[in-house]
Amino acid sequence: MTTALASLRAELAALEGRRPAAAAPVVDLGAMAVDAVLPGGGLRLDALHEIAGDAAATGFLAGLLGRMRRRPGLLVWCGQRHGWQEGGLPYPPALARRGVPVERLLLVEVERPADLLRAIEDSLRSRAAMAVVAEDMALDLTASRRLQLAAEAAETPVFALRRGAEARIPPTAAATRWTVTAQPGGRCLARLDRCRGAQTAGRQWCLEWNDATLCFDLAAPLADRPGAAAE
Amino acid sequence: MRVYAVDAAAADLGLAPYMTLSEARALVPELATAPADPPGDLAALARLADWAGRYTPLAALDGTDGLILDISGCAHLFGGEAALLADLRDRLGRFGLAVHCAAAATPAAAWAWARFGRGDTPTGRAALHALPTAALRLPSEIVLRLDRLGLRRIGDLAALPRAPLAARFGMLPGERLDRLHGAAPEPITPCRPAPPWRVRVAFAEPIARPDDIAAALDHLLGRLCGELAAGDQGAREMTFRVYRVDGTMQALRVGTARPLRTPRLLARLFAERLGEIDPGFGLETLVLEAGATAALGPEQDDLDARSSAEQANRETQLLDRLVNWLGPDRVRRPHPVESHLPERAIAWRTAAEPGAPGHFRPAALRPLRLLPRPEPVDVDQAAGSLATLHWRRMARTLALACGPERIAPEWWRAPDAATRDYYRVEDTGGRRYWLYREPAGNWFLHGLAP
Repeated sequence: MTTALASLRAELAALEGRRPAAAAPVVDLGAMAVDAVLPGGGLRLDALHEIAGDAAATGFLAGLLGRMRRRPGLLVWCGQRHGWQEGGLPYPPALARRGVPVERLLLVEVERPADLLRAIEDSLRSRAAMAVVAEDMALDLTASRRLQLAAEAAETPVFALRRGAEARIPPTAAATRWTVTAQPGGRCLARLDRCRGAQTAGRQWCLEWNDATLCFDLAAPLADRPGAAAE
Repeated sequence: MRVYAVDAAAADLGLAPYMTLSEARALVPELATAPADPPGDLAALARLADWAGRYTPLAALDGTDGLILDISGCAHLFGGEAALLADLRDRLGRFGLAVHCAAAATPAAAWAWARFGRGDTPTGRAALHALPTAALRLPSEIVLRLDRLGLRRIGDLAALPRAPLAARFGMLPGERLDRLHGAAPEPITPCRPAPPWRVRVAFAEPIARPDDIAAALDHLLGRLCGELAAGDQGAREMTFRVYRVDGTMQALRVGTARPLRTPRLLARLFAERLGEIDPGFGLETLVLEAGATAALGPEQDDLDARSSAEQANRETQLLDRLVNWLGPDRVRRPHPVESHLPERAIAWRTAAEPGAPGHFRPAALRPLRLLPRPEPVDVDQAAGSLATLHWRRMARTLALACGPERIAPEWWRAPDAATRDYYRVEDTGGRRYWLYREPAGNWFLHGLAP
């Protein structure tokens, strides 16, 4: 029964023109418990991924970017000025510590939110980018579907960073959707809100970045402190 | 059918061009003929002009049977003008061509001496004046009229006053005389425009192996890029010309979107096309020219040579598109600056200027997000440690604090700036902040770290 289901899935994917998850290149987190759950063993490198959260989300994203630093191309980071004045610009020396290739970082500032979409699509179509990061982009279903298709065509990942975790999750066509919050001790709580191709809604992990091995580790619960209340 | 050209033996037997073929056959029954091919001859002459590029880049066709080469500044490479002419005559003789060569100060004088003079170079103005008037390239009917008047040599013509000469024969003789003496300019139109940057290498033994050709190209690229660097230019277009021993020339041209000066990248652009070169029996001279150049400031070499030329081109095109759409101030790259002040340690410079950023030293204890302007905050202290942070109208209870890290101002830049003591604090929710305090007691929030 399972083989029939698997073959049916593969046939549907082929009809839709999607590459099966097993064949797509992925970036893994380095934490086996998380990678085992994600289809393909990691985040697909030809898809749109949404990451919501505050400064912790930037750290999570920086870790991911550091793990795919071997991909050639520019790292295009798009945003708007007011967003950066409020939340701060990405600071290259700290990003470099996570392994992000900051010598290839390109900071693109747009005026209007509509221009963000155009900047991302230009970067994808040029095939000169290793990854595209967009900050504070309001993504509805149509826009996310458009970006997902563009990312698939260009085989380049797009990361949509959003400030502030939302209680209600609007529908989206992104491949994965994370909410990352800070935890005491320099850790982060990464919750996988949505993942296309796997039944993992709502699972969360407490991750810690390991500077030495440049990967995420599953954090052992702290022994001498009570669990910090999430705000 | 008329005779187009005759060789020396046929000329001795009395044959000449424009004779009809039947007349010629009548004179010499065992005449060997071949159909004339004027376009083919012209093409061969053009190829010869290309080949003459091994002497000088300025080679022009002269009518249907001659070449004019501007060898000013090139003669020393061959050991002087006489040696250059001897070499030219020698090589052309080996190709099976009978030539008259001459070198003179002006193109008109050289033309005249090659066809009517004896020897390599006219010894002086008197020698030129001894030539017949036909050497001035005047139309034949003017030559006939001058002859009837008894003006048979150039010297006779030069001695006459100009005004009556012009009244009778027009401006042409005067012009031609001026050009002969160098009083009027006579620029030649070379087959190819002379490139501003050109390096050449000649081999005593012709080379034919692809490895040798590639090595010679690398050597030439190194020299040309050095010259471009000295002139603060980058090449947008480069042409690689190879001259074979059998007198033909092949050229490879590459173009770049951005002015380039790196031998490695240019060698890659040429490498994929080096296979098109057919060395034949060997190459004796290689020339590398930069056709179009643009200003290019000094740039740092990139040690990480992973990007290929196509990737670099794609990145350049994306940069160009973004800069053209948004403006150069909106597309920026970080450049490390030698400074302790965190906001000065990174300079965001426009990506429109070429130049790779230098090396970034990954810094511990620095926030992932730096606020463009430090925000004033309030910090309550309790029992000697930091207790509460008031930022953006929210009070956050602090659990951990680490510091201080003292960063002194740059006294040579701003003598009145305040020393900062930086603290890394973490609130009970796990969020981390990077604060600093000035000696006056003001607290500021400078960054956010996970």
